[in-house]
Amino acid sequence: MTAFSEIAPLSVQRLLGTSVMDRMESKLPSRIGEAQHDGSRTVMMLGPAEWLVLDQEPKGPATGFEQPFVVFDESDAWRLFRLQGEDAGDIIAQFCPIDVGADTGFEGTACATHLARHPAIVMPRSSGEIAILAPRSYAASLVALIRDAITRSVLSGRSD
Amino acid sequence: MTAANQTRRLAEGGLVDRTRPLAFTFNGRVLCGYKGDTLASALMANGVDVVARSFKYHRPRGIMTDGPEEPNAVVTVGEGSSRTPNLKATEVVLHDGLVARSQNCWPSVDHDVGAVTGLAAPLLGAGFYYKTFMAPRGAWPRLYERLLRHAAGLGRAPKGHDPDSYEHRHSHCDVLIVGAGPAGLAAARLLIQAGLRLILCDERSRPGGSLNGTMQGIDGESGSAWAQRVAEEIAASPDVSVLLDTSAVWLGDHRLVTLVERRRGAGGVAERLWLVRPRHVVLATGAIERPLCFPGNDRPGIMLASAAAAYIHRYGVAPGKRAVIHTNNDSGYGVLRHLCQAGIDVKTIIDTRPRDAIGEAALDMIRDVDVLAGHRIVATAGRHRLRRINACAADGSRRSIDADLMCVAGGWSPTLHLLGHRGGTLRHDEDNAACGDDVAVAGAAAGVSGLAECLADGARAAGTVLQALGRDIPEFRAPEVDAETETLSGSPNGPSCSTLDVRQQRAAFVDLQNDVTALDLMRAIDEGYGAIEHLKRYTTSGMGTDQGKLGNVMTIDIVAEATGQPVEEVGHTTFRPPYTPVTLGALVGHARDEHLFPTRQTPFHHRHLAAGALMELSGPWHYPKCYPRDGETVDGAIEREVRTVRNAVGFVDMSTLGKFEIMGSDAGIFLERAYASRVENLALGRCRYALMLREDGVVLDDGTVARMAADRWHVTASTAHADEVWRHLERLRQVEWPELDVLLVDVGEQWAGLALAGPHARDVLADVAPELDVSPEALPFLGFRETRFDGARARVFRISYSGELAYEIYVGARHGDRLWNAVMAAGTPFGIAPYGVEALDVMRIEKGHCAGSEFDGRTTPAELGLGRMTRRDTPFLGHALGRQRSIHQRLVGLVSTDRRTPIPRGAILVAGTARSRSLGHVTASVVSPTLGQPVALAMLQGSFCPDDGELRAVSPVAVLDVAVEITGLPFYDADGGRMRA
Repeated sequence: MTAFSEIAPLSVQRLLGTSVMDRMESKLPSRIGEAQHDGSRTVMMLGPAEWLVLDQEPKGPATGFEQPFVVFDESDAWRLFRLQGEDAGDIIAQFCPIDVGADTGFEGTACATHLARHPAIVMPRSSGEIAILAPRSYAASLVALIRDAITRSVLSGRSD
Repeated sequence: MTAANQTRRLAEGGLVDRTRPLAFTFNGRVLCGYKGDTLASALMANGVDVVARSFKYHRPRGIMTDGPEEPNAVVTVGEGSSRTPNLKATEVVLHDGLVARSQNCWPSVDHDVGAVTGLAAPLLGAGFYYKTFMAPRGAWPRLYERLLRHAAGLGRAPKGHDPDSYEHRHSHCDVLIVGAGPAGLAAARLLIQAGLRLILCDERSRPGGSLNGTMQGIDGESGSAWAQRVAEEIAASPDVSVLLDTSAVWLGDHRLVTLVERRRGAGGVAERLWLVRPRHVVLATGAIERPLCFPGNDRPGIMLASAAAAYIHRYGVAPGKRAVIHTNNDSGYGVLRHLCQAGIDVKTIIDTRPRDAIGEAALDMIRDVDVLAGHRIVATAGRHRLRRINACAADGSRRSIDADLMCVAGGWSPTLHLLGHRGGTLRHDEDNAACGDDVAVAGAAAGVSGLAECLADGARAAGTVLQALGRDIPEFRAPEVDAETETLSGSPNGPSCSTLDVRQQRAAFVDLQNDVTALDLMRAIDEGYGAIEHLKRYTTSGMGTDQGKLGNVMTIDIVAEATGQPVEEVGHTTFRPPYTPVTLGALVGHARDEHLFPTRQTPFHHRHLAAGALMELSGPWHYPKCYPRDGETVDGAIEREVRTVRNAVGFVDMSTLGKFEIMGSDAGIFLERAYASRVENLALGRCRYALMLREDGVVLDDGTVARMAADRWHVTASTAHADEVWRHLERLRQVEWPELDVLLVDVGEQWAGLALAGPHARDVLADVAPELDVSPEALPFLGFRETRFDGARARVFRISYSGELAYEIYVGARHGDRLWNAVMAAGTPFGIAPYGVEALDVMRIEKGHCAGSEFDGRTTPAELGLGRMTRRDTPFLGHALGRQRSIHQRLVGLVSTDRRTPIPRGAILVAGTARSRSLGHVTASVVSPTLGQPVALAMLQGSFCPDDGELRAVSPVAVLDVAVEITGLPFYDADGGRMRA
């Protein structure tokens, strides 16, 4: 059975900075699409000189990153969901062309993509667990989409 | 009906599960089949001869093939809203309760009134519609068009909501093998040894391909059992998916392969569309047997020889009682053994070749069968089923043979349509008269014949893939093929048709679905349509749902013979996707109803609903149209909301606006280049209305720019253009001006915004944000301040879109509810009310403000009367080309001459009569509650002058013609005193 739920509350900080990799290498992922998990904090590199820091507990502004970054609080801009179960990968595969195969290095990544044209960041946490970070305004539409997919998955079932 | 009524079901044999009978309905008759049947095999088992009627002449048609190449047995499956037309009975997997119906016939398939069309066949040859319906001219819209529209199309689409569900599935793998026949299985077996991620798909319910339709043995067991066992082995391997009932319908660029999995009757999803991105593709798609062209070749009971064998061995059905084999190659003799095994009486083989051209192996198979070598068929008889065949020898002697089954074997065409989708070219091979491709494919699809050879070729193809992937090639142990059961291979070395005969007979069909005859082709060639692509379009040969899988090669043969060209010079028509028809449901997948496209909600969505808003979709946004109260009409609500804002105070959700922060030491330079308006000199705490242009000088969007700090700016974009503006700004930063020290952040999702508007807006704001000095001196028009709202950060802009004293207040989205409550509480003493997008639109028209209908991608600032907002001294994006543009039109205000009649939106402006040349169009129109009269905005040609005649707004859609007058803009508060108050 696949479960889908929201993870709240959430703190999201966007870090922007240029020419900082040498100074911050030890703290930040250095490849675009790479995600580092440390307890309840996840840091992902979204693009050149651009990171997103997720804390599942509201802590205010992310600490330790103030300089030489510009830090934006985007806690109100995102909603975080957890898709958990043996069909989690199959459900993502209905809406997105990223390769969710177990041996493709999908785990440990943060893929900024679209799920059925909904912008989202897809992050596999562990086998059978995928976190989805969705822009707030799209969240309701995306939730309805995924819930319907779970229902279809149950109905068609296990005959797959 | 019970299983016992399956009169043509053999007593034993076949791969169907006889312990699981399935009831189904065909044309209202309840019939019975077995699990493992297709609709075609079940109909055949029940003795159904006429399954459908042909498209043009409504000729009775039976089952001719056993696969997607079927041209005749096209039926409608399902009832009501779940009805699917134009399905091939050979592709429909039987399930309990299936309901099917013949199409293109009335009142029944056996007695079809439309068959009278056949009497007019001499007048309805190919391209007749290009030569008729010319006169009288007036009859075209009233008669001809109606007739043709009624006759056009095959089947009827359902009108109701489709109750079935569909989905898409993206998938990746190392190798996709299309076809689980002998070559495909051999390839898969080798590839799984290398541990590759594999998808193996086959359009049938059972793996094995041709092995299921023959008696060939492998490794000491039947071919079908071997295939089943091997497929199970493959499916049990890690990272392997075996998809049955799944057709590969499109091979696109970068090896994106589209598969359609049919799951009707299995519960849940009816069809699933797979989008597979493999690193390599192996096409083991087999070959399709060709028919032969002769007069009367379309009667029920005439079928491909390979199909007859398949119905016997795969489904345990005898397709007839007395059979004749008609062939032009040795492979046709192979079916003799299958027919005899099923107890079918075979007395005659009609071979178009002289006796000395027939292979010895073929002649060795003949026992008590009369071979008419060098004969051709000149006629067939039988109303609803083949009854008699007339054959003619080269010397003119004739033979008449009674038969209810004719097995036709005209050679084999490799199934290479998928390669054609990718742009692969096919070449004709004179040696085996089959088409091969310059890309490696496996088995019969590569022109290989013989089971052992196909198995070996599958392994060869797998080896090629492994080599390309840099993997070691495991040792291939060739399965041992039972030589006794090996089929005859045969390349056609006799003619597939005689142009002499078909010129004399109309009913020698090349494309059976579209009723295109060889005579049609001859006449088209005589008329100059000798090029194969022209011929296809003129005659419609190959344009049916079978896409000419049977007829195309015959067409090429006929063109070659008629024009004297070699076959390779004639060429072939383009194979286009899909390989076999795909339902609209599968293409759409989940994207229907509420999931048609992504929708967005503002942070105030639930407050809108609670306030009784009438919601509508504005682009992707759920947005309140208005907030009707009990007993209030929509128009009444809009009018009330406008009056509330004009006379008291109202508020509107502004969260949908695009909002970006631009920062960095070069942010001012960046904005100065990106916007046509001057912004770099903006003082701290001030904002400005600004225009953004495209490179060609046309307005891209308008918005506001606010300076938050020396190196930090907040800009807004219209809701409609927010995404486009964001991409535009990012492109400018990353591509055009990477040297600038600028960072961009899209903060649109972060902020929830309400605009307070009306004479009491300041009073309400003062209550909502007590820490903020809201006096006109502290917060003047176009001022900006950061403040606190209930402990949270807030931004306040004094900007007006309505033309009233107005403020936009932004707080973090999670504080939206509290902001709404605070505004309502503070505004209640003043009669505050929320207003929707309609009231907002009314007020902006009254103020003459431009919006999306004026910023339509064709207008320049000068044309919109916004030229004063563009700089003249320093360059900006769109400056150079914009200067070169002449002014073609101008934004004007319109009122109806009688001050009463509403001006239709989108109306064309003309001077004089309604048929005069267009002088422009109405972009926005409203009956102004404030002014008490209709007003409109319009783009009018710059060359118009009142001497041209009375200006009229004419709408052919609304059937309205309104006399209008040009007025100045804005219509309301011309000096702007109210918003600057």
